[in-house]
Amino acid sequence: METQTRKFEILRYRPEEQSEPEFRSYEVPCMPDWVVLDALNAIKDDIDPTLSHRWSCRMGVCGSCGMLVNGRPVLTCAAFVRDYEGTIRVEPLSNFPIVRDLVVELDDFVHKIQSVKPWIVRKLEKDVEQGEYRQSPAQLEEFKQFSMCINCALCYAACPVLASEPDFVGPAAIALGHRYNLDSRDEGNAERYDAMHGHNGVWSCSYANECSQVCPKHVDPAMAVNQAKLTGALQWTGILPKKSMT
Amino acid sequence: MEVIEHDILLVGGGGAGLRAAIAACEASPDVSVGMVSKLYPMRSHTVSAEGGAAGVARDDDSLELHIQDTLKGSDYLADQDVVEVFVDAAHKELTQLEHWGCPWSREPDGRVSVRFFGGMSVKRTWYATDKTGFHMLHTLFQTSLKYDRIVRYDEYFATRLLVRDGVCRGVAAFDLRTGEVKCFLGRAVILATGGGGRIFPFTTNAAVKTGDGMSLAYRAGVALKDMEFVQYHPTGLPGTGILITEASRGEGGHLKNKHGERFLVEYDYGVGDRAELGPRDMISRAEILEFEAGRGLRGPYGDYVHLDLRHLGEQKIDQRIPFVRELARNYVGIDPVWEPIPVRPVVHYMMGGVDTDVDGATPGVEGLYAAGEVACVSINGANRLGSNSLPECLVFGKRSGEAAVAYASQGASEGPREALVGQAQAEEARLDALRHKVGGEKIAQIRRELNSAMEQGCGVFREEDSMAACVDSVRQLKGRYADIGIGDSSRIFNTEIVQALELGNLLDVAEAVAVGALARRESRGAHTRRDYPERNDADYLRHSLVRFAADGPRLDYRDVTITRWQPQERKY
Amino acid sequence: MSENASPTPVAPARPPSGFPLAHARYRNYVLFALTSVFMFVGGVGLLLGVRALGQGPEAWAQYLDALGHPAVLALSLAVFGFSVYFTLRWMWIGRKIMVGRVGPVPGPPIPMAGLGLGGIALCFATGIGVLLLLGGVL
Repeated sequence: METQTRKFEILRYRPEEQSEPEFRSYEVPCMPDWVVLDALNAIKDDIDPTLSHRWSCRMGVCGSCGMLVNGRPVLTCAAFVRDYEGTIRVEPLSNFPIVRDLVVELDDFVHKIQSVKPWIVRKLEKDVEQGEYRQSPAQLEEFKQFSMCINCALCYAACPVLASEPDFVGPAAIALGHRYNLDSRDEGNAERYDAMHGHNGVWSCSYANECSQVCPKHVDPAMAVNQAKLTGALQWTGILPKKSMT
Repeated sequence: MEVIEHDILLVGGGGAGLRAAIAACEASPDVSVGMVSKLYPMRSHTVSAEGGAAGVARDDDSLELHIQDTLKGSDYLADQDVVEVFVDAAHKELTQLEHWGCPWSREPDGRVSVRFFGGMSVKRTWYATDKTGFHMLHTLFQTSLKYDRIVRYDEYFATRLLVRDGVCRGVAAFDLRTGEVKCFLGRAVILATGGGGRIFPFTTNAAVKTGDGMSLAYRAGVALKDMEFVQYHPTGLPGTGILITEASRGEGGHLKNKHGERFLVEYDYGVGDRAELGPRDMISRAEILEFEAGRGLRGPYGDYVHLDLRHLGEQKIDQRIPFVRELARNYVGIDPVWEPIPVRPVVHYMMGGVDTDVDGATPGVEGLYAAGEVACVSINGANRLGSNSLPECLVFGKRSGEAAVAYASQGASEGPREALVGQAQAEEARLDALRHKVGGEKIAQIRRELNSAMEQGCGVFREEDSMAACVDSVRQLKGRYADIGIGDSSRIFNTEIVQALELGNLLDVAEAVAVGALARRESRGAHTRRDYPERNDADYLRHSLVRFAADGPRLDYRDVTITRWQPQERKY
Repeated sequence: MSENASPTPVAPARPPSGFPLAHARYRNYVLFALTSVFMFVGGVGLLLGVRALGQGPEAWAQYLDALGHPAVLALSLAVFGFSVYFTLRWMWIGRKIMVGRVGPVPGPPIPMAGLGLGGIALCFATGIGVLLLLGGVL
């Protein structure tokens, strides 16, 4: 296969040498079936070893390689070079502080995931010897979509609310909390209520729907957030009960 | 230097590591666990497992059958006492995952569904569509978040085990974020870093699978066991090596050559009537033989065969194996509903690994445990059956977590820590020097040459000459590795340093694989030699053990544990 | 974000690229946010009317006169337009978040996806009809 040389503009930031991020250009010979991540690796291997970026599975499921390509948050392992015309601009995810080059600070994101208590909460835990909980395909279907999130954080990069309210719990975390609330095995939605419906919870969302536009796994976090608004409102009024383990 | 102390230290945060961490917390109410991982746990390669996890679940199945299938699949190289322990615990662990919220696919009556898998005689593979590993990993990660006592050190790269008087008491690791080396001290250390498939160029393995834990243990004096057994998965996408799950065959998909023949059925490759449901080693060999007979299809990345799912229909594909459709569409532009998928054998899994006993403890170094793909316990022998590795992570992750807590609570003497901290400081000096290292060799170049040497020497079919050449090449590359130059001397998130250290680990693992392979003069499971095509139980019904020595690896053997099942000819 | 001190210097988070006006999606969103201003203005207008009504026939006549002023007419039209836009978009959201539930055990989600533009238009027309009916126009 013939390679074709493509121009990449990559936002570089090396805090030990630069005070501010700036773009640097690279000419990269690309194979026709390359994804943007392949080009980044080619730069790292053969052109400039100082480029830092995260990646791992390169099949769209580990969630490491989210970046902005021509301004859109994408998984670079699933963004084909051939689908872009002219110069390709690669930047770290928006709405996250930049640690270095294309690497952003994710600890806050992980704390938000943790804040919604994304685990099964029950009054009584069944013993393993007693076998599985029965769950019908319909009950599974109710939350399945929201369990598909790979934590790639593209939705956080796209969310206009997070741009102005950095403390907003955010689409992925709320979708995950909602996923557990909808799980027939769970009895803990009261435990998640404060995180999901508190000051930085669902009501910060103004339904820009950007999260669902960029989600590579079709989780539709906007749907989760807005379903959670309805559930939360009904719980607040007492129409729907809060399930609690205490 | 900052010294961080926990009771139990984990290196690696994938399926086995997270399971071990949770088990440790459940085993003791006040144990503290430090989890050192070079990536955020939910990025770990467990995430890429697709097809499912085996565990006896139905009336037509039994522990006995699962044991027999596993042993036969292993070509009788698995330790039978360990397989019994494994099979007995596997289904319980999968149920435990169900209790923790794993979204297993369900039957209409609400029970967990099971599907067929290669080499398994009945349906016993639990699945969550075809993203089983993803769902298991996220369930484990999310469940681990409820324990404050699991303290995570995400994006810390472990570079050395701290061993004093034959007892492992910690690990030196550097924080990618700051470049700072820290000294982690604990009463027991569990390795759960996964395999090292990246020694090969064409692999389903993620970039992070560089054999780090294997190298750590190897350098600390533990043997690497059965390293010559490398599993080729028969259905990877050409070029990228992306895995197309075995579940696609479990659900009824067919493999076809360029004449559209189901070659596994029409030519005798020893796979038997069950054809597409044969074990991975045999089907991979059959594909290569098909290529050699000129019946493969030609593509830009070499020969391939077709995986035909069209007869399953859109509905079944979307319901059971949607990820296969997504991957095929995204990466090769083919919709399996209408067209067959091009596939070829691809390096997938290492049966070998750090030598451990049934509790994950490593003989020779006290206080050190290993679980998951990094370990060789051994249930997989010469060929792992598909869907046994996910429960392996759970079963032996749990066992090693519990064993580590038991060991730690025996009150092993604290002893002076200066020696340990001193080792970490030496590590700090080594990394500082590495950051500023000047040399003529390039990391990427050595890695490429290593990959191509391994592919030529230790592929699906092996021969004396090419393996000997491979051993030589790896040794030369090890020499050249000493002369690499580093272009990035910065501290903050320096991924070039990570790549340099990973390359060192890859070289260790590759050498162990090549040395083990060259010495095993028989064909067994995934280790197939053209010059010794028969299995030789008289001489080689033994585990190989490769030990580190300054002047090159030392090879040794240990008998396989046979209890109730005598080795038989492996026919399907 | 809300992290305390970063262990290493970081470059501050950058807003989503091109926000708020570069893409049609963003413009739609800004327009949606803008509806609140016009609905507020419309609400104030109605309150002024109520107050005028309480002040007697003269004030009410003045109020009606003011409503006929071309600028106020234009403003009313804008308020109406934004209300329509808000309603449409709200319904668009609504069909996604409304989940059908039967009995104590929740069934599978039935997002009101079947509710297409026609359905939304019908709801909207019915709403206008009810208002007109209540207002005594019909």
